[in-house]
This record gives sequence, structure tokens and C-alpha cells, in this order.
Amino acid sequence: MENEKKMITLKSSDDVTFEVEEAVVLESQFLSHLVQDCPAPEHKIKEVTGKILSKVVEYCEKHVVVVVDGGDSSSSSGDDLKKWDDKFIKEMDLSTVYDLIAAANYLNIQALLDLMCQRVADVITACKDHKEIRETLGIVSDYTAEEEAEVLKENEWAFD
Amino acid sequence: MDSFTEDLWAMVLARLPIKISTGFKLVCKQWKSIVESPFFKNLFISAHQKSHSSTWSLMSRFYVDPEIVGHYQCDTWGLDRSLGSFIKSFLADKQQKYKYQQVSVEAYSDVGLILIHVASSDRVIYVANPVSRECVEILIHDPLPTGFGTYEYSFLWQWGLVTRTVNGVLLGYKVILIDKLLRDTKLNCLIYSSETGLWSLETLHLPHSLFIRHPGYPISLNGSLHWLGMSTEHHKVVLSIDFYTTSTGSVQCRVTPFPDLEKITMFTRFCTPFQGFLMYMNIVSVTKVDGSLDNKLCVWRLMSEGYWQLMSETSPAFTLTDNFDYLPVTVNPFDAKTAYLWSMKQERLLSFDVYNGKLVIHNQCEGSGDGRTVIPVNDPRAMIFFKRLLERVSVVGENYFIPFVLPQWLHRIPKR
Repeated sequence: MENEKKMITLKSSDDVTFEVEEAVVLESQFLSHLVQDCPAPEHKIKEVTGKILSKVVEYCEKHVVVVVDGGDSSSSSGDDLKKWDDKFIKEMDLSTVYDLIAAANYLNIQALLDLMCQRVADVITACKDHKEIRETLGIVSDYTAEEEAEVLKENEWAFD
Repeated sequence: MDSFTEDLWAMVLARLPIKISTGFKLVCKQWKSIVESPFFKNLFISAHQKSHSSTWSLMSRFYVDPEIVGHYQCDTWGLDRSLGSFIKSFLADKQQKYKYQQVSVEAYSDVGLILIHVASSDRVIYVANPVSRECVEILIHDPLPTGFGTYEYSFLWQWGLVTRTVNGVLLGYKVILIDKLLRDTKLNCLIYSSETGLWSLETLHLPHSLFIRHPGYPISLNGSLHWLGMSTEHHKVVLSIDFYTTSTGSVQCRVTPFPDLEKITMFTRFCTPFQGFLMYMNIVSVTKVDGSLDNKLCVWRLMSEGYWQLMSETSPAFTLTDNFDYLPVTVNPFDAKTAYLWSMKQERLLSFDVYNGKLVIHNQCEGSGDGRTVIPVNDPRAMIFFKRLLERVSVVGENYFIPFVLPQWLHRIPKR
């Protein structure tokens, strides 16, 4: 017997709407406060686009604690969830990852923030030096040759 | 990507070890300013608090590399060599500068700094971070006050290095020079303070007359130095001298007898630093009503008020029987529950959990040429190598080793 679940509508900055269960919303500290303080049926999230919000919703729906019939409370088993997380990040390009970090930080979803930050950290760790980091992340160095040599000298131990 | 602010970058970068994040300074100016910001430091420390691990070593008084125990490659620092090898290469550079005069480590601090003495006419010492190679030169007080002999007898001096840290920020350090440790209850100290840049002479008065047979290196913790000693009644004690007593500005001495003096104990008494406290562990035998012996594994920490707080008392789930030949080597300064023992006869390292009393026997030394054995530990990226102690039994037995622990952050050396 499925009880009536309270549904909440989230609307992105570009007016894409998502209808989700209240439990999904509670994964976000920011949204749970919003829902408590302002019991409107629809909430506009001006800082997050539809593309990114769909990813956030997908993640939260997967991670929400599922209440099975009979009142038994369980979340998807740890290993399965980890596999799902791996697949979730693997399919994502870096710019989506950046946006998701910003969104997870804004919406205060710690587990998603951790997952995404770790993904960027892994990409950086895989680089062999600062030049490869710049190339991979599309960063343009603003050092002059002299300044760069100075920084290198001051922190020589880290480049051993 | 434009929405990706400095704060978000800091959250990503703070997950990586110090060695890697220091290297980020070379990527661009923005990353340099992120990595050097206090916000980044706070993020880093809270992100790495969970790992409860940092690089540490157990140094021998006579050998820098290899040290007796080296723990490195942990997530906090991400080093690929042990502290002993960092110190060795740092000393080698100084030795070259001083045309192969004797250059030695005289003291270890609790914030990753060491004190280096050069036996040369320059009368100079160095406070240095052997990992980052930052180094400050200090001229020794000249002329020496009466009671300190001459420079030719500098091998009789006892050095110490204490630091003052407030809210995670290293504010200052003091270099301590003690003349031939102890004459009755009077102790002459020359103290250099980084805050004033000056040396001053202080005479300390100990509450009891003490005998410190092998002064060794004191353990430096939160502005205090701790030595193991013996009172004139032959009681083993800890002598603690606080060089940063705030209220009166004067130096404070305290003598604390070990907490188990009337009982039979199994191990040579030794202390380890742990999260700002001095920790002591032993197996204590208690006679039961029926006359049989009951062994208890006890862990204490020394409180600043000058008493031992019993932290745990368990029945060891193992017996170290027969010809008891185990030497306590150290307690892991970060997890505080793993104690390491060395079996002399079996040439074997054992570790046990001090809270549940369970024992783990590590493989016998497998022969890398220099007698090192590598032991994986709880932290998946960290490893311990253990220098074979066979020929150094006396070294361990006489407390000639000293823990050197890197903090959870790379502190810059404070300058005036």
C-alpha cells in the first residue's frame, strides 16, 4: 500500500520543473530549510540551471533512504551505491562537474559535494606537473618567467 | 566555470596532501593565493582530521637515516621518503657549507622543526624545517655565561626546542641550552626567544634533587620539555619544564612520579606524545586476593596540572611469556591505540591494540639489505618501515630514541 507521498516541485533558473518526493528534497540542507520555512508547493532555485538540477535530482533520488513496505528502512546497499556513483561521475564532463560542485555547495548536499570535489582532485592528481594541470583544466598561467622561477625556488621541496 | 569561485577551488585542493598542494602554487597566481589563504588552511585541517594520521618517525640519537621507525606516504603530507632521509640530505648540505665539520640534530620540536648545531668557530645554530628546507640562523650567546664551560665542551650541552602555537598558528619558538643537565636542584638555562631575538639566562629551581642518567633528547610538547629521570629515592619520574608559562612569565618546573611505582610492570618506562599530551603505557601486575597475578594493560596521559589520568585499563588478550624479551618501541602518535613492541630474540615486531588488548604479530624482518622491514598500516597510503634493532638493544633500552612527528600543517618558521 503506497501512502500518499508529499510531492514538491523544484523550478530551475531556466524554468525547468522537477516534481520530487519530499524525502528527496531533504537530502539538501538548504532545501529542507526552505521547505520547512515556506510551505509553498513550488520552489524556484535561481542559482541552478535545469541541466544541473536534473543531475542533482538524479543523485538525490538514488541516495534517498527508501522506506519499503512494512516500515523497514534501508538505503541501497553500500557497494551498489558506490558503483552507481562511479558511473554517475564517469559520464560527466569537467564543466558539468564544476557546475555540480557549485550547486551542491549552494544547496548544501555534503555527500554530492564530496563526490564531485574528489573527482576533480583525482583529475589533478593524475597530472604529472603544473603544466599538465593547466592544460587539463584550461587554466592560463599569469606568471612571468621570473615570477615562476621565484615560486619554484621558494617551494623546491614540493617538486622533488 | 566562471561560477567556480576561489572558495570552491579551495574545497577541491584542500583534499590533497601538503606536498601536492604546495606544488599548486606554480599553476597560476590565483591558485597560489588560494593555497596560502587562512581559509584554505582551515579547510585542509578539517578535511584531514578524519585521517588521524600524519608523518612520524622514531629517531635514534646516533643515526638520522634510517631512523628506527618511519611512517610516511600518508594523506596529510604525501611524502615519498621518510623524515630521516629528509633530515639526512638537509644535514649533508650544511656539512658541505661548513667543510665537513660535525653537523648534528640537537633537538626535535612538536611542529616539524629541528635544531641543528654546527661544531665550528661560527658559533651558530639553525632552526629548520627539514622537509620544506626553510631555515633560520641564530648566533649563540657570546660570551657564554659562567657555568657553561667553553665551546670545546659543547658536547656536554643539552639543547631543547619548544614552540608556542595558538589556534593552530605557530607564533614563536624558544631555543633552550642547558648546562650539563642538573646540579642539585639548580639548573642554568640559556633561552633564545624568536619573539625578542635575544638570549637570556635563567636559573631554574627544581622541587627535588634528581638524577638523569641518560639525558637523551627531551620530548617537546606545547612549550614544555619532558625528560625521564630518577629521583634520589630511585623513583622513576618525569621532569617537565614549561618555558611558556604565561601568568608570571617565569619558567615552571614540575616533577611527576610514574603512576605505577609500587607495582610490578613489564616494560621499560617510556613516554610518547599524543595530541598534545605525554602518554605512558605499561602492563601492570596486580596481586589478587588468592595470591595470583592479574595483568592489566594501562594507558595514562600526563595532565598539565601534574597528575596522570588513567585513560584505559584492559586485560591484555595475549600473554608475553617465558623469557620476556619485549621492548616497547612506541605508541602510534595519531591513533593512540596501537603500541609497537620489539622482540629481541625473535627479531620481530608486534603491535597491539591498547584498548582491546589484541595482538598482531608482524612478519619477521624480511631481508632488505639494510635490515628494514616495511609494514602496511591502517592508513592505506601510509607505510611504516622498521629498522632492525638487533644491534641496538641498549639504544632502545636506555631511551635513546625520540619521536619526531609532523603536524597537520606546514608551519612557516616565525621571524621577528
